[in-house]
Amino acid sequence: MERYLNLTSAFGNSPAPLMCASLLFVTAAALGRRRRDWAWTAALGGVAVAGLGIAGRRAPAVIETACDTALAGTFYAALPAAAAVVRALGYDPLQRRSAPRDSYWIPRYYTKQTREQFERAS
Amino acid sequence: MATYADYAPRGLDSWLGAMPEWLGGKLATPARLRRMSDFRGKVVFTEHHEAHAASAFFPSPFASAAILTIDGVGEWATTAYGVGRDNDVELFAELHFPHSLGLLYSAFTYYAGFRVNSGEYKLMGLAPYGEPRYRDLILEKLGDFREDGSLRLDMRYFSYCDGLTMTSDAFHGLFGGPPRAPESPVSAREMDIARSIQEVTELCVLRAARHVHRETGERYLCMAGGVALNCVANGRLLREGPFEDIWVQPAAGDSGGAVGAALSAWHQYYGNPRYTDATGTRTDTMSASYLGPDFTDDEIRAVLNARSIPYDEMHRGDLLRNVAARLASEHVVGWFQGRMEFGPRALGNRSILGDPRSPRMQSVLNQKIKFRESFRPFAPAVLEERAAEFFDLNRASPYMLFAAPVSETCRLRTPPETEGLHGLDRLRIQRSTLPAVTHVDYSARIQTVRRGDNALFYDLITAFDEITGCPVLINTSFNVRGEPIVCNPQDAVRCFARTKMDVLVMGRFLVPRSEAVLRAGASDGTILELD
Repeated sequence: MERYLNLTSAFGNSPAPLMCASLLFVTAAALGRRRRDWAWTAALGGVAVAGLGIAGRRAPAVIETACDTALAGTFYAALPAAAAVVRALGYDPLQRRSAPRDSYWIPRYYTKQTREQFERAS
Repeated sequence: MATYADYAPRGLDSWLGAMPEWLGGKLATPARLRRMSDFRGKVVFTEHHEAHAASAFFPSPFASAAILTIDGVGEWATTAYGVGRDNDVELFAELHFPHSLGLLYSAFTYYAGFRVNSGEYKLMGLAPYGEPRYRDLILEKLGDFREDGSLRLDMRYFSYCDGLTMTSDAFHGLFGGPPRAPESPVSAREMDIARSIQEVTELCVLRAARHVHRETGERYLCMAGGVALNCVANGRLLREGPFEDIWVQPAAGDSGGAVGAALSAWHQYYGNPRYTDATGTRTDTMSASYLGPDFTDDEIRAVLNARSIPYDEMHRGDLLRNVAARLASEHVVGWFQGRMEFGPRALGNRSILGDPRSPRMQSVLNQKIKFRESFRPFAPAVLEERAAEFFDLNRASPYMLFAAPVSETCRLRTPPETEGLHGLDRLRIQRSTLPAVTHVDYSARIQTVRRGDNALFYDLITAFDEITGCPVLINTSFNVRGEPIVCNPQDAVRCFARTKMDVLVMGRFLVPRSEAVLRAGASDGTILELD
């Protein structure tokens, strides 16, 4: 990721506008010489470089937006359905809906950590 | 995930904030630890409240004690209790998120316009100015508060599960308006809010302690978790609670979890024995919480020389007499000595010191030195064996974790013309012979100083006593508002330069204010956000 960020920021810093200007000049020259194939190639190249330049300049924001979009998609794809199932089954993981009790202390399943629990994520 | 599943489709903002941290950070903790250090050994884990419990019991002076941990949340638990014996800790029961006394207090911290996870002690300091007008409303509406100290919050009034704030519109409707805007004037409503939630917190802590006492049958109690930093509640627990004695981890918040995790692994995972006090002096093993870095005189001298700051190098006796005389003349002293304290309190090694007898010292320190709110009180550091002359406290309090009343003999009769004063106007009343450390309710957050813990600080207070007949100093942390406590000599010089302290003492060097000091402060452009 860091390498990618370096690459794109290098693109965004200055070469892209210069390259676009160069390709625009090549496009105009090719049209002047009636070389449409050269003109099309240079024009498409300019558009591509401009796109990469813009993306490179905004890479962190683009990546953040992409990640947020993916996380939001995951959220809406999975969690409302899970919530519906949770509620349908009468499960109350946060004790928000259950009846009042004399005490809300919850006995622990185990009173102290085992060796396996100490090591569980190592 | 269960929280999000319970609240979906609400909670997207919270999800987007939390998931990157989980995916990118918390799940990769072992790898991060190895990247940050040369450590290549085994990494083991303790649960959040197991770590708090270990930090409360293992360094305590007790061979056997009940344990109560109360904080915001860790994994699922928000409160837990159990027993510690020798090198073993067992936790029997807990309360689960989102039902949390710590988060309830934080919600009111947010509502009163202070920053969550750092402004809670401001709310505690504000409480004595108000009336408990909302106490019953809190107990009736915000949750089900049981006699055994357990509670279940009515989550319609809170938004910390599915949003980026603490309180909901329903909460704002209940208490008559939106949260106070940060930095806006503090009104009587915030004072009443602070007093009300403080009383509810004390009630819950007392109830929980009584329940723990009944369940465990232990004589002593050890506490940790952020709520255990509430020294007013601790003081009440000491005076009114069922336990003979209480020990509170000085770094009771999450920073102390590091100590707890290490001790838990040492004693419970590796099975190493724990040596409790066999001499009967009942001292803990926290080394008075002086666990941070220290700096030699050569290192301090190099910092001063590099900045061309003039200083006087003195022998210990001369230094103490000089500083005590300055304090007696109402000078404010930056005091930088030995190892830095571990935890939120400065205990005499990274401290700003002043004369508690001075009626003007509280406002001088708050407004010209620390740039903080005028209502905030200062703590006294008193020689341990002389504490009972000034405060109604019958035990040592080396970590400023117990508030106690100023003794009747030190109190002054308030003039009749001040009887109608309310709110912050009450600051104008001189209440005792130690006005700078006497809060408006005649309480003080006391540090008792034992020579065995900090000989230099003890001797400084003694030197001040020899001049004034008063073995008490104001002791507040060496920082300004929004900044952490200074750690190294560079920090100390910078903080000294940016305030109106009269003199800085580092090691054996006495640094008066000078142009060179001001230049050194101006050359460091770091500005931290206010807390």
